[in-house]
Amino acid sequence: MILPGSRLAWFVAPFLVLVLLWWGVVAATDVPARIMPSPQAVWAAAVEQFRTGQLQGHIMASLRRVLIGVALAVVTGIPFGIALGTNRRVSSFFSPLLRFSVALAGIAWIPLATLWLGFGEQAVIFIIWNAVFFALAYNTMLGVSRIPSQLLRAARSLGATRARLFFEVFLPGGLPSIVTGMRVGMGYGWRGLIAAEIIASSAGLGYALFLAQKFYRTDIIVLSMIIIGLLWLLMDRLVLAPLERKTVERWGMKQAVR
Amino acid sequence: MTGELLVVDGLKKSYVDAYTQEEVVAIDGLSFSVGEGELVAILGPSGCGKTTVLNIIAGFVELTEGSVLLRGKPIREPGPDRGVVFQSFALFPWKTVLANVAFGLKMRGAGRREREGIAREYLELVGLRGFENKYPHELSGGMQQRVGVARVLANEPDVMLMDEPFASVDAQTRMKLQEDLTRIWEERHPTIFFVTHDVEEAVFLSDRVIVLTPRPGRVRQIVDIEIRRPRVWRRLVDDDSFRRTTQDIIDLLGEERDDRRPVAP
Amino acid sequence: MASAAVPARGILRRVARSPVTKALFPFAIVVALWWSIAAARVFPSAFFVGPDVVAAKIGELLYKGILVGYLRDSIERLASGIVWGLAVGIPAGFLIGLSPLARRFSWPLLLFFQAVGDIAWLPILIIWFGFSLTSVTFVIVYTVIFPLMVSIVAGVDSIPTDMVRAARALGARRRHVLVDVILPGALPAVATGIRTGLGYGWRALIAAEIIVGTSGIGFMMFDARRAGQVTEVFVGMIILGILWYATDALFLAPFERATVERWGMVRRAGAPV
Repeated sequence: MILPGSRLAWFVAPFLVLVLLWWGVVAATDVPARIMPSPQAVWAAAVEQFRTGQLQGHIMASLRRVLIGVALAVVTGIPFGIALGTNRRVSSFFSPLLRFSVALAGIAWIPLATLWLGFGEQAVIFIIWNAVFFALAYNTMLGVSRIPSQLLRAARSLGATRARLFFEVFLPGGLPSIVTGMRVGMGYGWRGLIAAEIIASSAGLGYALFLAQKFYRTDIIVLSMIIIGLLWLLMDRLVLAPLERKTVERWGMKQAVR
Repeated sequence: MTGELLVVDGLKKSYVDAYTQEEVVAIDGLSFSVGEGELVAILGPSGCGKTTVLNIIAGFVELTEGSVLLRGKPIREPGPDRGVVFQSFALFPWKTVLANVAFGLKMRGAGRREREGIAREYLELVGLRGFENKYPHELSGGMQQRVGVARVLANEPDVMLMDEPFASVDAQTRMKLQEDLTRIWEERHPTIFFVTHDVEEAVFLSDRVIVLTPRPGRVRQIVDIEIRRPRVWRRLVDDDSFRRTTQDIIDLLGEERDDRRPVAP
Repeated sequence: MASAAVPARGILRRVARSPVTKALFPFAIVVALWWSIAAARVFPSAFFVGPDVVAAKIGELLYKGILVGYLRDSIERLASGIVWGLAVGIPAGFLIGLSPLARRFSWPLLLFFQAVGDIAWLPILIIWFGFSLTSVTFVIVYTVIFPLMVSIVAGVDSIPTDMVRAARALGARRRHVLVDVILPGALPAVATGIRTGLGYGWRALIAAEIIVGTSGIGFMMFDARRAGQVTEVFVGMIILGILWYATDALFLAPFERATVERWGMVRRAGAPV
């Protein structure tokens, strides 16, 4: 994020004010650490967790699951979405069904996922896959179905085979929607990750939250919350949003379906 | 110059370009006046600052130097004394045509029956009787602009500022609207300040045309229009005086333009 | 040629063409698919049950009044959260939209806190408020306000400058501009924001109930999972889906349609889910 100096300052300033307020309130009210940690305590916890390697361990575990889940969703969701989107009748037929699924995706599947896969890595990855898959498939389907049929006719009359059509027309044509679907899906997926880790896992940021709550380590709770927020902020703002902007700018209209 | 309704003296407007951080002079010293009941057009190529002049008079934009006086008092903010008709119509899509026209009266605290009665009058004046309960999106562009005009007239402002009001409609509708505006003006004589880039439109409508230079905008010349009223397109198309005046003004604009004409590849 | 057959065919055709049928047909196919998978015993019955079993369980739970009780609890919590979410989100959204200072200051904070997400708040909420309605309400409010505020700010931004200027040139003071131009102008965005927010709120409710619930549909699913009762888990998911779909189709979509289309404003492509 290459921000000119003043813009960066403006972005950071509200957080500084917030931390100052936080420090002030904790100091003034003398609230016990079991209820609310001070900024210093959170910082100390961060240092300690980093030193013992626990912090990195949790972050790595969570990120690894996200990576796997998203990769699986991309590999299954995009072709599925394209397949549905190529035929207008098929896409309008499946549209309500997919919308229904998106509404249900992710966290609502946790009881079922843990029933089928037990607690642990697989269940967490399943939830992430689930959350990203439906949003991605739905958006992909919509994007592809909106490709003007004239483009398809033109490509076919220029001799494109099915495979070529996929790579030369459907994929690029649907790309803006695909990227939007990725962004929306990952939002759900990240949230699903945390929930799944709280319930069903023994490593990762969600688990760190769960464990810290059990032992009233509010400093670790707040630390984990901050890290969760920062990670998503970085992922979304540094990678996903620019990606979405670039494809949309290059290709045209944005279909925001979230 | 004293006793004139609207007096613009030495108007300058400059701003800092957001990208280059340089100072850009949009208007570089304009002076003119508009008398009560006059229809004055301001004309110039794109970017010459004519819309900025209107925005300053309307109070939407602040001037950098100089003065704008309405009835001797300096302009501070937008207000009902300077009604504005926009190129984009700017009708309130959630209000009916009648409610749109009655808006200014409502702001002034007029009771419902009174303001609706006045609104109906003005809708009749612009030829939209029967459309009171329609919503703007149900109307064509030309009709929407009629509502825009009625809305301002109903408020009885000191001066009606019109910002390229007919630029968003097709040529046919435009000519009809121009004739209707002239008719209304010849009937009621509101004071009108009309911004346009269309020479024929300016000559057709106004008593005087203020011709601006390209940016930075300055007064090139103020041309008095001597064409007899009432003015109707059918008659003026062949009218010598009209053709001559139009050509003169085009020449005025063209003199600047020639220097900047792109070389053919 | 039986004369009774002709009118029957006509009715059948009309039913087949109606939008309700069109919307439900894909679900019918899925249900049929579901039934055949269950009947073929592709998965062990401890993990997968068919629609007949689920329907029977729904009937049983309804009869015992359990389902209604859980539903009521869930809906009450959702309603409470939504009301608070609207009460906080709508004024906040307009404040941020209208005040450049408020926007500059709060926008980075908004982005960050939205990124933290509602779920991550649950552990500390449990410490502060225990497994109570307050915790769940907080989570719902938290999820609802961000899309709501973002939507409202976008709505305020989308009001054409000319319209505000037109109002001022007709004598409107700040107060009138707010009430007569900004509020109605942003209303479609508010409707969209509520619709999006409600979807999020629903999901937040279920998540909260699964993690910290003591009653409600989410709790029912989690409790059933603990007892290994897959049927109840299926029931929960079906009920959730139906409830969400019904709420959206019967209330939210028509509301959005009514405000936006009545005023002839451009609708966003697709529908928020």
